[in-house]
Amino acid sequence: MIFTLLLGVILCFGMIIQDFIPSIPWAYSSHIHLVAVLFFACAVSVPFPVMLIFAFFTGFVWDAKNMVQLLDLDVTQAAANLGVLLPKSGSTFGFSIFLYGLFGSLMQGIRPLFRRGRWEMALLMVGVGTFLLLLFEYLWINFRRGGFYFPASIWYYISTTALLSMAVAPLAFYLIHRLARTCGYHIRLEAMAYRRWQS
Amino acid sequence: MRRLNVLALLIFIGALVWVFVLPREKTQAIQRTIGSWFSPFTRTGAKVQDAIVGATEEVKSPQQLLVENKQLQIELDQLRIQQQNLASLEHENADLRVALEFRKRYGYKLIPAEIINRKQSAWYREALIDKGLKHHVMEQTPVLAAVQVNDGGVARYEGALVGKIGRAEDSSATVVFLTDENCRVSATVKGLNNVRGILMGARSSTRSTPNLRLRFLKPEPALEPGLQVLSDGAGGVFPFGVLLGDVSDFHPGDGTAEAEVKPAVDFDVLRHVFVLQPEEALSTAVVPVSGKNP
Repeated sequence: MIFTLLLGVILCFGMIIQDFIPSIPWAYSSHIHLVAVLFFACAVSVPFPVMLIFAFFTGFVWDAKNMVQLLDLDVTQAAANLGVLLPKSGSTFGFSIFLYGLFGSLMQGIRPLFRRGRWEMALLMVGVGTFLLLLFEYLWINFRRGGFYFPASIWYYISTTALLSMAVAPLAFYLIHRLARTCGYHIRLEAMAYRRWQS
Repeated sequence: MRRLNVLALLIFIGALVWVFVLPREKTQAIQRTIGSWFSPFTRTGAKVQDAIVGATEEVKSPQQLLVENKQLQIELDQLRIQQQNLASLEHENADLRVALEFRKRYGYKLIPAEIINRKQSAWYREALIDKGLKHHVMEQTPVLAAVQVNDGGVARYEGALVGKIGRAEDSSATVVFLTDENCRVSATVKGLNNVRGILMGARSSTRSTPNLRLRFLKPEPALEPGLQVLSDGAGGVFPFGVLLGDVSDFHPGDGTAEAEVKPAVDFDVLRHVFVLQPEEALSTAVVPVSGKNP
């Protein structure tokens, strides 16, 4: 219980620290997506119901903190005058909750491997998860605004952000392991790890 | 799948549906509350980011600063003279309005603000400014910047549209730049009153100042490069005649045509902006504009 609460605190800190991380202009404005890294690291360390609570919390706070909702009062009238139908804005409050829930479930799939002490796969999945998170966000924008537009710069941005995030993931895993050890929480199944080395 | 997991999944889906159907007013209230919790960290974070990114910028020598200072002094004097001229023109205009019984739609007040952080990503172009609700900055209001325009060989300053306030918190606000596809403006072309379209930014670009698209135009007349694009004031969000940019290219289509527009504002160097606030709104309580869920 204490471990779970501390993970929640870590996620909150992640939200705060995210504001301190600048984007890299020469790398297609890519940045380290710390919130996603911490969420995925937490998602693989806790049982499924707790992961869903984290997904809801992270997605909700993320959207509340970052989403901008614009009203098109003027263009709605202008569009009516021109006789055209305008596409929607592209953002939906709560969509991040869905994405975090979806990709958190993906992380749960490799939890048995992670519990046996194989962290490489989890590390790779943080990169994949961040990539998919951004890709789905952009796909949703395209879907809402009408027409799919994928220039090369989008792929560079998503890939570089995923790689940068993956690079800091070991730190997140180390932090969570230290925290688990301090709280007496067993992420890793020692007996299973032992059996693997015996065979 | 264990029973507990199924139950947790059902509760999660239920909570997700609840969030999706929340009315816009409710989500905006939630955003303001959570935004105010994080606001001090966001502002500090913006300063740290600025320090990190600023450290890589070129440091100017005292000589360069002296030259720049002199140049700014000259420009300031010019602006003072222009301001005097404008004041007399304003009086004249007011007299003419009265004479013509012209109904004044709005009075506007400019709230100066500084950009403290750019939220740059491949598909969002936003910035955080240092003024918020307590400075009477409200959501959905236009943001301008002074740009130098060449009017028949004479250089003068004019207010050009930067974007609009997407969300406002107590002491800061987020400006959605005109270059963001989400910021759409009803526009017309100077000198061609019957030409109307909707100006919007690019969906994704790695350039900080990508060209804009003036869509839903009639194929005729073809727009020549260099023509000025202005806001047409439909809907009352943006006042009529605010400079948006210049036509750089024209693509005639079957039913509708599209023009490429170079923004009047250079978003690369933009630092100081003005929030255009209706004086009517200033005299009333500070309540952000709300509307229906899209």
